[in-house]
Amino acid sequence: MILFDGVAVQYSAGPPILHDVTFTLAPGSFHFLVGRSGAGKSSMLKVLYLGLRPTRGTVSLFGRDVASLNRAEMPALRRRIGVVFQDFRLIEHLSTFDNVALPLRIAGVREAEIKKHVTELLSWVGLKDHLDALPPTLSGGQQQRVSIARAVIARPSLLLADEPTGNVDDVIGLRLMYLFEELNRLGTTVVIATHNDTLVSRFSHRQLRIEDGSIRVFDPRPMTAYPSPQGTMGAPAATGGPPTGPVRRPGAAQ
Amino acid sequence: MFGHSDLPLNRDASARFLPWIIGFMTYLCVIAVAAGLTVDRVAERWRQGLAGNLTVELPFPAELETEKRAEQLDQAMELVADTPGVTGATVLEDHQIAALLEPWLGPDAGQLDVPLPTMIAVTRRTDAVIDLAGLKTKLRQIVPDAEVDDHGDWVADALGFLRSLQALAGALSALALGAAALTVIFVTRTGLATHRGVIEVVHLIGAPDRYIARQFQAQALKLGILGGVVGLGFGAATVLGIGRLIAFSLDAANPGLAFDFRLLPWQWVVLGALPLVVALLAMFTARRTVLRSLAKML
Repeated sequence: MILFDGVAVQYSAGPPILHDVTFTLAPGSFHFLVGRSGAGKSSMLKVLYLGLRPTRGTVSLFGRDVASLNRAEMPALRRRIGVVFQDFRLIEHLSTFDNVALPLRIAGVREAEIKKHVTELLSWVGLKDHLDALPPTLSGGQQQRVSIARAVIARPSLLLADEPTGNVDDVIGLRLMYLFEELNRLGTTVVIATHNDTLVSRFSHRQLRIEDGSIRVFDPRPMTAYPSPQGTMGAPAATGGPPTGPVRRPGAAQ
Repeated sequence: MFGHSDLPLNRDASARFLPWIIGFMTYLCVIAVAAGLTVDRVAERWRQGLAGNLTVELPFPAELETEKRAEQLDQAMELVADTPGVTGATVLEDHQIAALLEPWLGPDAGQLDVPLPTMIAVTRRTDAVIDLAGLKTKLRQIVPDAEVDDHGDWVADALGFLRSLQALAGALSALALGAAALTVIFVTRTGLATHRGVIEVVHLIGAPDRYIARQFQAQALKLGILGGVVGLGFGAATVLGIGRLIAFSLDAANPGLAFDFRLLPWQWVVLGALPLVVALLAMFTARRTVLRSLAKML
């Protein structure tokens, strides 16, 4: 369960980016986070991946109030969150393989397992021939796929993706969406921030719409009753998708 | 031990200059510790060499007749020999006294027109306690200006001086190690600033501080060992060279003193352990610096 209660985010003396944001996400749910450019999507993702403390309000992840977390407790919580950054944030001196292997190495997975699963996942996202390539030698779309592979390799409990299909063609974009849905089917809560209306309309998942600094919830499925914009959003129906090979991280809760 | 690293610490400028700085500090440490160990050995030799000896000085008046002088000398020898704890007493010949004075008065010391006292070299059991004041009083009843010297004051002064040298060597070693630690702190902080972006990503992926610290400490250990071994090599060569030079000079100037500046095997083991000490110091300093610095980050 993810809970935002009266959350506000403000940078320095500027106007608040988010104010009084309140919602809950059920475990295993799938949401698009939509809104115009500069609306605060990235700020909200930052709060979700513990990269930014809210100016006020309560954020609870997996039953823990993040304000009460001490420094030593943060890494374990972060390991349950996979993040696809908008600017990829790949480590430039590490190969494609090592970038994707990073979450597993941090989690202490054995090298033999790492090799098997990283190779399998990179093959699936079409980068089998680029295992040793350094990120600066890859195209934008390839870097994006590496970033996505790194985010999902440890099969996180929560996957956050900031414009994950922005630099890839439609075919690859669909494959990646199927990957996210497969993860979601296996229990991962997914939040995808995107501008891509076509993508949003193609996959009828619930939407968190940021407008004027606050969140409105929209469910495109007409038969789904939805009580209030600030109510709890349930897990979506399972969707079909391709087989994926992300590793279940030892000790990772679903 | 050095394993996989997510941070490109090997490419930092610090990776090039840190081994040289650590090497130089290790070099200074090796020299200082070797000096301290040598001084310790010299002090022990002096202490042991003089602990079992007494010197009795009998300044006979110049006008005293030869027969009278011999009679008083015999009485003094008999008194010394009968003193409990004394194991032997020998009257030094004139040429032996001249040899003792040679370092101060030159090779013609025996030919100078200076009244020299008669000297008795006394050996005693090292565990014997001799009443020096009582012995002197009795000797003065035979020869009025007789003196008894157990070299205690001289040994105390000399040992005090040697201990000061040892303290100086210890202080120099501590300064060198401190400078090495400060350099590691500076290099580590620079590395944290240089790789801040990567560290943030690794943090966000879920790495605890100790995961990042492990990479810095492994790098510091590796560079510390490299620099330490280089410093030890140059330091050992210098110690050997200086030892031979001093021994050669002293032997040439005064063969009688027989100084020995060679280090014992266990002392070489101590010197050989210094690179490890320096490398471990670098490793723990890097670890502590990283953990303290990261604690101030989000």
